[in-house]
Amino acid sequence: MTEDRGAGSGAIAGEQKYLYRYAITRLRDPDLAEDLVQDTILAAMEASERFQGRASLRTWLVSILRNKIIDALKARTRVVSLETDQSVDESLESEIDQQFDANGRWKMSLRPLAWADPEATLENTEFWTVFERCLEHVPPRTAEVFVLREVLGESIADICKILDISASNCSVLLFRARMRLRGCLDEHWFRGRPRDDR
Amino acid sequence: MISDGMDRHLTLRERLRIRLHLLMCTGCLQFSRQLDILRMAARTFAERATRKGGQLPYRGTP
Repeated sequence: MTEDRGAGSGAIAGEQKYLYRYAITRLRDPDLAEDLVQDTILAAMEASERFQGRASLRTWLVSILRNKIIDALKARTRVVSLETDQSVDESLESEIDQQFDANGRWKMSLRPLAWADPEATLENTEFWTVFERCLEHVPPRTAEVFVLREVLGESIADICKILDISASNCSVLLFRARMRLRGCLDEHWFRGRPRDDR
Repeated sequence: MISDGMDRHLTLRERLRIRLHLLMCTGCLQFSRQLDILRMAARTFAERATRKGGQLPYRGTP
């Protein structure tokens, strides 16, 4: 195998750590992440002559891994029983309802207040611990839709196809995930810090 | 509808309704800003963890 055509096995394997980090943040399941990374590396080695060096090796590997992650999320959704998630979803729904009055307006005491200095926040290591904990408190199916949309950047149309749900169902799940996350971050991070209401 | 607007193109009418509402509702104005920050955070979250040398967010390394 020459250097300018195809990719060497060593170079492919050298990307394993990077690929694992990529997978773990999107799947939140160390064993599954490791499996998918290994599948990706094996698939890449088998197809290495197809890698023409147009994109970087890493980009090519990530595109293979990304498809595997989406397939895994699809399979996992089928396994998660709709009923168990439903009761969790209902409690999340009432948690959201409680933030609004009878006219559908924010209750005065629960009205969102400005989050100070988002740029500095995203540089703060402690913030990420809080963010991660908050993400863990979103019900699994709801969290999956959020990850597909906001982390993987999929369109609603594609998420509907991947998870086999309707567009309106998808919007509802996204709304719930965002409400839960913003509430959690507000409570555990932003509240008590100086606000800049503008 | 603010949440929806992050995922699909709203009609002109829908966008106007939101604009007008945000002028008088500081709760929704801040909510809308927070959703933007949340999106930024979700993307940064993935990038940070993927970057080499970054801390693994979860237990169990291969």
